[in-house]
Amino acid sequence: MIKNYKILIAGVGGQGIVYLSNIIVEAAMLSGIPVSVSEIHGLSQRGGVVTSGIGLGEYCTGFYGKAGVDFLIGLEPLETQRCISYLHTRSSVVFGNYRIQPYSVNAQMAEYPDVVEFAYYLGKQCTEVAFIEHFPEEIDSVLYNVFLLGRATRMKDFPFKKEITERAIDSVVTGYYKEKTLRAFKLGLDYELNKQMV
Amino acid sequence: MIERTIKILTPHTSPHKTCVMGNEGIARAALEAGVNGVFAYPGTPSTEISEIFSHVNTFQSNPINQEKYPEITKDPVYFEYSINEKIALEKAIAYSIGNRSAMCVMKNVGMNVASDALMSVTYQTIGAPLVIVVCDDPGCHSSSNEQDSRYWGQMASVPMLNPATPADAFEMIKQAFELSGKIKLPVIVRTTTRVSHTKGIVTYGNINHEFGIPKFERLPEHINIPARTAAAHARLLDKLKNENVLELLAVNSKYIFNEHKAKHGIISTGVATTYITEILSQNNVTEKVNVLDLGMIHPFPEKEVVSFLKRDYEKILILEELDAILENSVRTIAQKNKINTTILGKGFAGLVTTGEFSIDLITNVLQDFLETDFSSTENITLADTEKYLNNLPPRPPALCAGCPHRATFYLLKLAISREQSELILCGDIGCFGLGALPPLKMLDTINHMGMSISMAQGLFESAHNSEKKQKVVALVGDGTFFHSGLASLVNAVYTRANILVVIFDNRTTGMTGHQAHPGASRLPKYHEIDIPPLLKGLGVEMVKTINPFNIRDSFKQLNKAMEFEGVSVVIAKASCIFLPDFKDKIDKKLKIAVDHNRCNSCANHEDALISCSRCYAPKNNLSRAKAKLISEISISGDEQLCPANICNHGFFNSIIEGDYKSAVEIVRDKMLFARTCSAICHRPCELFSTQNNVVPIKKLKHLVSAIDENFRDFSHPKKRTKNAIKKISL
Repeated sequence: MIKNYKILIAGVGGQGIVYLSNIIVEAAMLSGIPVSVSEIHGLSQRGGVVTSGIGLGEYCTGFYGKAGVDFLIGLEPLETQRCISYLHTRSSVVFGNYRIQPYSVNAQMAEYPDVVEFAYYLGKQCTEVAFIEHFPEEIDSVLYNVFLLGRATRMKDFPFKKEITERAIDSVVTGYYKEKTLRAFKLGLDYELNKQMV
Repeated sequence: MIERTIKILTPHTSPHKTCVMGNEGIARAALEAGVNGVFAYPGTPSTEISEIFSHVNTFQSNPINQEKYPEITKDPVYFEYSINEKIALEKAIAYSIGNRSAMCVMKNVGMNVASDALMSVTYQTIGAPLVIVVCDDPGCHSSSNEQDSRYWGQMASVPMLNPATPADAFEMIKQAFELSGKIKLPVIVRTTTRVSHTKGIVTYGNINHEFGIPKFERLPEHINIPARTAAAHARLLDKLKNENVLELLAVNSKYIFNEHKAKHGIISTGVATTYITEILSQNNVTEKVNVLDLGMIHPFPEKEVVSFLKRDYEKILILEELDAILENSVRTIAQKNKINTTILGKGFAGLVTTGEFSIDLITNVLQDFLETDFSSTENITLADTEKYLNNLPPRPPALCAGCPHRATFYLLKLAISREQSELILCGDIGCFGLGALPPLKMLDTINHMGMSISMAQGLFESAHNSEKKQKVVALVGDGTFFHSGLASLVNAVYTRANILVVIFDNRTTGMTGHQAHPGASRLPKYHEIDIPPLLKGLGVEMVKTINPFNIRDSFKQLNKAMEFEGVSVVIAKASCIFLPDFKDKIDKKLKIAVDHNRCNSCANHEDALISCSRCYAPKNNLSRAKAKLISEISISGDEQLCPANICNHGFFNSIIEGDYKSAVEIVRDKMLFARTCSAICHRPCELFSTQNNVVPIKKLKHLVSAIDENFRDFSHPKKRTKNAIKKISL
């Protein structure tokens, strides 16, 4: 039995946040760890923010508060940045530089934050940070979520071993996409970070 | 989707653990309890429950599935999306009276609509079990209020269960069905967003197939007349004292962290309990407190609470989201039993009746209550977070790319000048309500479902005898129109209101995830109702259906409808982008290009470096767009030949609309010295025109550049210089 552990997935509606949380839930079920998830996806289809908090362990809920998240998977850099008050100094973060500009930025009413600078900041603050500045071209953008999960699996504090996560994908994903998904996972797993960014 | 349906229909003879969303657990529990029919109106956070039954119904009625999966398609569960919650509950009551067990599902505000049906059936009787599921939304993630539906238990005198987790919800639905059948009363299970939309481990079991045999008994209880109601009320209150009710109260009053004798006691209900258990165990203080979780909140578990109160606690804290319902009951019971323990609730350590609980809020409350500092077990926050959190661009929801509602709003923007007219636009609930937000800002009011048409009538009537008397516009979605707008429209016709109703008909109930409604049924089990003949039958004299993407024609129709005296209705009909009707029409390889022979705008955007559509003038110029729309002659873009790259069409159209300032801005967009330009230009645009009537561009330029005040505002040229590649000072 592991100590209570909280994973947060943040991004924008349509990026496959709920899908990713389903895979993690399956991994927990396969490991026999009690799991609970809290999702906010009220207006996901209208391009709103979607978050999914996953709690692992007895009495551990998917709700998260200040400095309460141990592992953050950010599918969109701005939404990753929005979550930093939930992180603590021993947290791990994996996030990708796939920007989805909100209306305010498109209408030039607000500026999109400097992602690279933010990545440096996070790198200094947290235990382990993996920043994917450029996703490999061979990956379809709909599979960036699984790619990030692959990269997460490789990190020191991620609660599931590679084999378990792979088995979870195998049982959650069905049909035509299974092979593609597993490939994206594998590519994420093998992805070497830009050394300067670590 | 089919796999999920099969999964939820598959019986398990031995306990099967699975991790599901609260709403999915509720649907499964109803199936296990042997529900025969489900009646619902969609609404977040309740929607997934009804969606599952919609899929189950479609799956079970398919002959191919019946052959392939005989086991899970036998005794199919009836399901319908009724037109509103009142009809859904009325039909569910009748279904139960016909001896078939029913479930009725809705969101918090839906219960208000359905309440008429609830309030008197309790005095009468039902037949087979009837369970009502109401999903509250503390924090208003997606609702027009955060009302506390727990009051309905007291108000209607029906048993009410209030689960804390998906597993609770699963058990309680089963309990509710059983109890309802025994005491012949509807039972309400009330959840909140954080129960309905939370995933947790639930243990699936077998599915009950003991379906009720349809029958109707002629009982005197079915006739509700005043002479009988007083006696019926007394009988109703007796039902709540029934032993089955008392038994369930005991089962659902659970002690947590009860191994140690503590000085502090907490009574909690709903999701508050999950926050408490996590925070107490995370901070290793479970020994300091005893917790009583109340899962059944009506009738009030008096016996259980009194015995908890008598355990000599120094202090007792009541934790419940929203109103102080539990707290007030506990205080009353304490007073009745002369218990003097300090009772804390709303008002203590930041506990308020608004919004939802959070880990941070409850952590603070528990620290204060237990007089213990949790900081030794807490994590260290990151440094300088403010710097990275301040000024982050917000991400509000917006209408989808390609949404037909955008086109309709664009039309309205052109037809109704928001700056120059006082015309009121009354909005309603639904996707198109997003039109209230910038950049559209095309709604003045949004209330509850169906209010738009009543609002327009009332506002029109209030100004009836004044000089301001003018048409008022109501905007309503197609789903909402059938939900409750139709009755209001009948009233408008009947009272001779002078209103325009625009129905945003995207062929589905969009906001809640594309459910059927009478105007767009899509399934053979429903009969589709065509709106125009319906309206004509009601006596609406002017009914126009427009395709909002055909802007020129729609604009004309909309203006005609505005001018019409009386009730006029415009149906802006184009399907939601998520529907197959929309998707099938789209050729994904299609690329957009400008046809210069038809373009009535500037061709200057071809010159990427001095792109005219990058700056202020063309973007925000609605008057120009309007002129373009009503112009009779169109001039090809490549005829402009302005050496200074000025958009002559934009310039000319702005003048037609009387917007001289925009006209000057369009010139200054490319040429800061508009006056000089008007003096020295050799007007190639006029010389090379192939049209019979030459537009005197140069004279016009002279005209507008003579207006001094239009030159005072330098904000736009200044803004442009920020992005300029080259800067020249003179």
